[in-house]
Formats: sequence, structure tokens, C-alpha cells
Amino acid sequence: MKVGLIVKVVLLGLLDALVISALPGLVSNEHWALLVGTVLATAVLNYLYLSRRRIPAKFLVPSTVLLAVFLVYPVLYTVFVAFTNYSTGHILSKEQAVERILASGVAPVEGGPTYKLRILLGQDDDVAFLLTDENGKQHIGNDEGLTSTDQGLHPYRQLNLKEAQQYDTEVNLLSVPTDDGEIKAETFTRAKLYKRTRSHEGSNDTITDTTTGLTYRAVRGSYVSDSGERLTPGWRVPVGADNFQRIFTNEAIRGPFLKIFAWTCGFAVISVLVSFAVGLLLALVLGDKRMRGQKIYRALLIIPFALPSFITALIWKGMFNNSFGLINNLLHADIPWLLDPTLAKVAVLIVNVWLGFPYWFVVTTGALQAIPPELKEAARVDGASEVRVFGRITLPLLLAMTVPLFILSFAFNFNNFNVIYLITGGGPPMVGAQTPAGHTDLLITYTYRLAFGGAGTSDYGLASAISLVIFVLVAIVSFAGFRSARCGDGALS
Amino acid sequence: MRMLLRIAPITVAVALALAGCGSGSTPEAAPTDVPSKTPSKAAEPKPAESGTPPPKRADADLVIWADGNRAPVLEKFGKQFGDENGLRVAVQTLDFAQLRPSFVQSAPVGQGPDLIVGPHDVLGEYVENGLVDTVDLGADAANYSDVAVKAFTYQGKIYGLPYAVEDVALITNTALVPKVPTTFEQLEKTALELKKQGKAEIPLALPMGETGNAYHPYALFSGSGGYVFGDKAGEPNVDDLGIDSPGGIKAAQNFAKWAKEGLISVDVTADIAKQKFVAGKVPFLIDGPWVVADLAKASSSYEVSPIPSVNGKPARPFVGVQGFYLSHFAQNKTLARTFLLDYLNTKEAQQALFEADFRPSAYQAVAGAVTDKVNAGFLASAQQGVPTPSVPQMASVWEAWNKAYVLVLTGEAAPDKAFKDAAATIRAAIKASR
Repeated sequence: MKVGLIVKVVLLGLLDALVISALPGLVSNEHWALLVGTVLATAVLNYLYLSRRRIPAKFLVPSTVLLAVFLVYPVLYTVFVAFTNYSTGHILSKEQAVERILASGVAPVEGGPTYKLRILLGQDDDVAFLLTDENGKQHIGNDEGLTSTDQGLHPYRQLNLKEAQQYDTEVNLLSVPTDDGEIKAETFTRAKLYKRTRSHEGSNDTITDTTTGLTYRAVRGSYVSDSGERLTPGWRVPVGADNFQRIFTNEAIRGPFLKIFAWTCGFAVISVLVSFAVGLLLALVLGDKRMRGQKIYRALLIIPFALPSFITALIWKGMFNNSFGLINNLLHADIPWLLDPTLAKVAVLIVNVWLGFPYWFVVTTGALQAIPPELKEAARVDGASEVRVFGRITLPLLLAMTVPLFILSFAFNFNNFNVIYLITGGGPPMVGAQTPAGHTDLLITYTYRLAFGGAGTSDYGLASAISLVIFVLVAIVSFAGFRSARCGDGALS
Repeated sequence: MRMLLRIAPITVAVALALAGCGSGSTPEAAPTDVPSKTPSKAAEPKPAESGTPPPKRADADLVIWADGNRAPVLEKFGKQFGDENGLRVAVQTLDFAQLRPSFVQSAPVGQGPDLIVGPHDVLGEYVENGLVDTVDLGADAANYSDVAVKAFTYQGKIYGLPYAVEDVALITNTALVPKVPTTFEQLEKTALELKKQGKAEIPLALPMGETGNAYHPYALFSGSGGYVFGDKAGEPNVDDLGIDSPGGIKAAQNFAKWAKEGLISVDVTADIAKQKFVAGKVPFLIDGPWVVADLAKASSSYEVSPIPSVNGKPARPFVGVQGFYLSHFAQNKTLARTFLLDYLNTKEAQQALFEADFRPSAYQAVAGAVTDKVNAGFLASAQQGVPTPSVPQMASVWEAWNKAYVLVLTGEAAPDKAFKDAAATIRAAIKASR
């Protein structure tokens, strides 16, 4: 009892300490909602565990919190992102974007003066510049302007680099106004004359560029001029159902969609069924008591499952190479495994089955042992052949046990990014497709490339929208699968 | 509902893999550290295994992010700079392929570095995202090779400090070919002859692979008259795509011809090309300085030279430029700029960087003094090259173009059709990204 109390106090104390240490960060970053939520949740947890009652809640609440953090939050965040323009060029918040746009409107004056710079510190911790111009004349510069050093440096004192470095932000922000522009530090030892060309009007949210005279208005996460010129960067902004509209109306996305969807379903179904069949066959064979060295065989058969699929997939890719691959070399053949659309599909299926059958082997081995031997015995006594016993007794019972795993396995293979991506990269390419679509592309690899364009551009909004659509597709298929499985259940019992 | 709950985790994992993407690496890209070698490959996220969270900024006065190759060098530099000025300098090592996505995620939330090392072809994305600041090199720009400065220029402004260039060149096995050919036609003849005699397993090892690769063949593409983007006042003009220009179609036809006569093949991947060259079974290899370490194992001697002209036209490879970017969200920006402009922007620093990293230097005074023949060969090749366009639109280009090469080399599609289709796809993608 005592020990339990100590453990409780220590754990709660740690939790509280953790939360308290996180509070200043939350306050300074102005995450108010998160702050309130964290404090409330901590208070509730403290109350629950310190009170003697509320026994069920002691078990339920932690799991609910974990569920919320690891499941609900990512799901909600994905849904949220799906309705924004979060993508390359739109990754900043609006304040950051405005600040950045204004900053890029500050440019050194070409051919303007350069100053040698020393950093000065005043009595109120205010930073100033000691500027030496090209003629060797010294000036003190602060946010009011330039003054001469005739009276010495008073009230400032000079800092060395280490000291000056403490004031990096102040040095970076300080600009000394002059008639020709403003003097800003470039490094800790050099300052230049800069000119500011952009200004932000907060009242009507426009940015004006004085060199071009253009005015830019905020439109859907970017400042755009009347003639359509756009300032970079933009910022994140909700765009409604635009991403979903793009999926369904954009010809480039819709084009090969059906073909790819069909192959995705085919890939998932064939992978599951064949891996299951191979796994079951091996389980039956190795489950036979007459079989010797069962343990060694079982251990060997688990290997594909135990090796990281990243590595084995790449090894398979090498083995399938047309001229230099092991398979063609052994067969003395010239089979274009990864270059022919049909053969490439066969190749990825072979690899996927190879990767997947040990799972089914393990599952079915266990399930077979769970089938009561009396049932089979009874059937044999009734004179049923072994094949009939298997078909009428073993298989139906086995299927009833493994249906949930079928659904899971299907959903996994439906989104089996690794195998496709590492072996064929979606290829061989479809001839004449308006997007870089390939014959072995799954929905996930295809849309991944659309949303992330290989590299360089990343469209998180579109990607989230697509993953939601895929979720719906998988959910529908799985639901249908469960429904029919339940019918099967009924027939059995 | 129950089944929905069961499936939810998978979908979430996938959603995260997609949404949080951006981190990780393909095993393929990992070992080579080939920055500009098909950026489409180098920068792709690790599939499915949803991203490891980007690293947190180290606690130091100056924080630099670099990949494993460069980190030790910079550590030395940083330490020296720090000791001289009594500052703490931290060099954080990231997986090469993680640098870009981690920076994009971490910088806006204040967890990013002050400086980040990387190839120039991510410049467009960094600028479009507002993540990097201009660096005013002023007159010092003349100390760097033109191609390096051009590569680090985006919309007329210089971002970052270049330090090395890299590109592909012709690597000739001098045991099989004593005299390096000066025209591509000679090379073609020699290579096919050696193949016929059974001395060469691969006549010309041009890394391609079943997924295609538009980076290595670019010199031959440009030598045949093709180009990617036209030029508008020194900037790539994304409205002028040259893949299906008459020169581009001519190039596609050349590639189809070379594939048909067995000179090049889609079966040759970068790894196979390297292995077979080391084994002495390849007279000609087209690859970059990143293979040099492996070539040390080669039984026969080799020579590095610019890729010979095609039909008398110079073959211009893509040049990648490595450099330092200054983060707009740097916590100590003035210090970072001081390190960049007063410390790294010197001959001594550039010399030390060059000695630590095999890539040819972007600093002219350092590059000019190079005596190593291999290095000089890559440098000579870079001098006739063009910087890989750094506009974000290049992402769409690689994707479609890689595939077009596969179709051409396998004979699956007619050369002109394959390249015209690719160009149409790219144009549509560029239009959609506006």
C-alpha cells in the first residue's frame, strides 16, 4: 500500500513538474488553447488519482488522453490541413510572411557607402554603431541618426565580438536613419547603406512597393498585384474544399485514376490471398507430425518477415534487373521483369507475397492448433476424406478466425508504399499519360508523387485531402468485407 | 464503427507519412551523397515509415546543419571561429536527404539552424518559402566561378555562399582505351568495337535504371541541341520548355539510336555502372566526383575529362553547386553573416574546405591551383556546364523526364512522342502550380 502511494506521488509529481516546465513556453508562444487544455487535463488527472473514489476513471482517463493525443489529434490535424493551402510557398504564418516580404524590400544601395563597424552599448543596454566611413571618419549611429564622435563615445562603451554577440537581435534590427536611406549592420564588423522599398498598410492589408509603384492585395494566402504579380512567400490560409475539388476535377489527377484504382485493389487482394494460400499451405505441411525438423523450417520461413523490407525490396530490385540481375542470369533468359507492364506487376506481386507469407504462416499455424481436433475426428469417423475435412471443417473455422486479419492486411497492402516505391518506383511508365503515372503505381505512390512532385514542391494540403479520400475508399471496401464476413459467420453457426 | 477504429491507425499513419513527409531518405540516395544527382531522388522522403521529427536546434551561439560528409570539416572551422571569438559553435549532422525537409519544417518554428549546407538546386524552394536571406557578396562575387555565382542567384539576388561545384564527366578506363576520344562519335565507335570484341560488358556506362534518370544524360541531351528552360535575362524561363524543342527531339532520337545499337541501356544503374567499371569491364563511365572514392579500388588506371562534343556541339553537363545558406529565421543572424562573409569568404577557408571535401572548389584562386588530375578533370567539365535550374518547377521536370528516358531507351514509345508527352505533362504541372 505504502509503495503504491509513493509511486503515485512520484509519478504525479513528475507529470506536474513536466507540465509546469512547459507552461512558460506555451505562454511565450501564445498557445492559449493548448495552455488551458494542458492545465485542465493535469488538474483532472491529479484529482482522479488523489481521490479514493473514481476507480473506473483511473483506468479510462489515461487511455482516453493517449487516444486523443496519438489518434484523434493527428486525424483532426490531417482533416484541418486538407482544407488549407499548406504547400511550398505557403508554409509560414501570415505575420511571418509579411515580415519576410518587408525584409526582402530592404536592399543595399548599389555603390553606396560601406562602414567599418564596432558595436557600442549604452547605459540602458541600448545598442549603437560606431561607424568608420571610407575616409576614416568616425560616427556614432543609433536609431535617431548619426552623430559625431567629437565628444568621445560617451555614454556608450565599445564591445568585443563575444560581448556584441549577446545583442545579435538588437544589432540585426537596428537601422540608423540617414538622408539617403538607413545604415544597417551586415556583419559585426561591417555596415552598409540600405534602402527600404516596401511598406505594409495594416488598415486595408496591402503592400506597396515604392520602386515599382505597385500595390499588392492579400488574396488567398498571397499578396497579388492588380496585374497578377505575386510576392513570395505566401502564408497558410484555409481554402475550403479546393483541394478536394482539385482531386475530382483536375484532368491530370483524374486521368489514370481508374486504372490505378483497379490495380491497387487487384494488388491488395491478390497479395493477401496468395500470401494467405502460401502461408496456409506451409502451415499445413509443417504442422504434420510426420514432418521432421519442423523448428528449423519454421525459423527459416520467418526470415523474410524478420528482415527489414527496405533492404529486401532493394535486393529484389537488383535481382530483377534485365541484363545484370540474378534471376535472368540463372535462367539464362532475357526477361524484361521491370520494364514490361505485366511482368512488372508480376514482379512486385512476387516480392510482396514473399514478404507477406510468413505472417500468414505464423497466423495460420496458430489458428490451426486452435481448431478442436474432435471436430475433425468426428468428421473422419463419419467417413469424410481428408480433403473434405479440410474443405468443410478446417478452412471455414480458420477463415472465421482470420477475417479481421484479412481486412487489416488488405488495408495495409492497399497503401503498401514501400514495396512499389522501392522496386519499380511505379514504373514502367504509362505511354501518353498526362501525369507521370506508371503501370505498377498504387494510389498512394501515384498521389504521393502528385502532391510532392518528386521533390522541391510539397503540397501538404492536397496530400491530406488525398489521404482522406483513400481513407474513405479503404473504409468502404473494408466495411463491405466485414459485412460479407459476418454473413459467413452466420452461415457457419 | 469497430472496423473503422481498427483501420484508422493505418490511415493515420499513411496520412502522417504524407503530411509529415519530407523527412528521411531513400536507401538508394543515402550512400552516395550526391546532391544534384537527380534531385528527385536525392530529396525524396522515406516512404511509409512516417517521418522522424526534425531535429531540434542545438544550444549554441552559432548553429550549422550539415550532412555527415561535411560536418567534420565544418566542426573544425566552427571550433576555430568559436575559439577566436569566445563563442560556442555547434555543427549538427543530419542525413543528407533530411537536410532540406528538416529545414523547411524547423526554420519557421524557430528550431532551425543559423546556417545550412546544401546544394543550390533547393534554392528555389527555400526562397519561395521565405526561409533564406540574401547574402551581399558585393565585389567578392568575382572570386567565385561564374557557374557557382549563377547557381546561387535567384530572381537576380545572391543567396548563400558557394564553395564547391560538382558535375558528371567522362571517366575513361585507360587500360581499355589508351587515348581519350575527343568526339562522341569516336567514343561511340570505340565503345561498340570493344563490346564486339568481348572486352567491354557495358560499352558506355551511363547510369539510368528502370525508374529513369534525366540528370546523367543531360550533357548528351544538351550536346544534341536540347535545353530545359530558355533564358530570360539570366533566369530560367519556365514558360520556355526545351524538352520537346527541335533540339530536344533530336536528342531523344539520338538516345533511341544509342540504345538500339547497345551503347547505352536502361538496365545500367549507378551501382552497376560503378561496379563494372571497377571490375575493368567498362571503357567509359559518365559520373561525378562522388564515385572517385570507389574508383580507387579499380584495377586499371582511369582518366577524367569533359564529355566530348556530340556532332561538334559542346556537351554541357548539369552543374550542382554546394554552399551555405543563411536562414531568415536564424537566431543569431549577424553572427551567422559574420561567419559567412568575414570567415568563410576567404581563400584560406575555401582552401581548407576544398582539402576536406573532394569536390572541385568554387573559389577561383583555389580551383586554379589544383594539381590533382582527377579533380581538374571534373573542374574542366564543370566549366563547360550549366547550373541545374533551381526553380521549384524542376521537380515536375525530373519526374516526367526520367520516365520519358525509360520509354525511349526501352523502345516502348517513339522518341518524339515520349519527349512530347513528357513536355506536355510538365507544362500542365507548371500551369497547375501557379
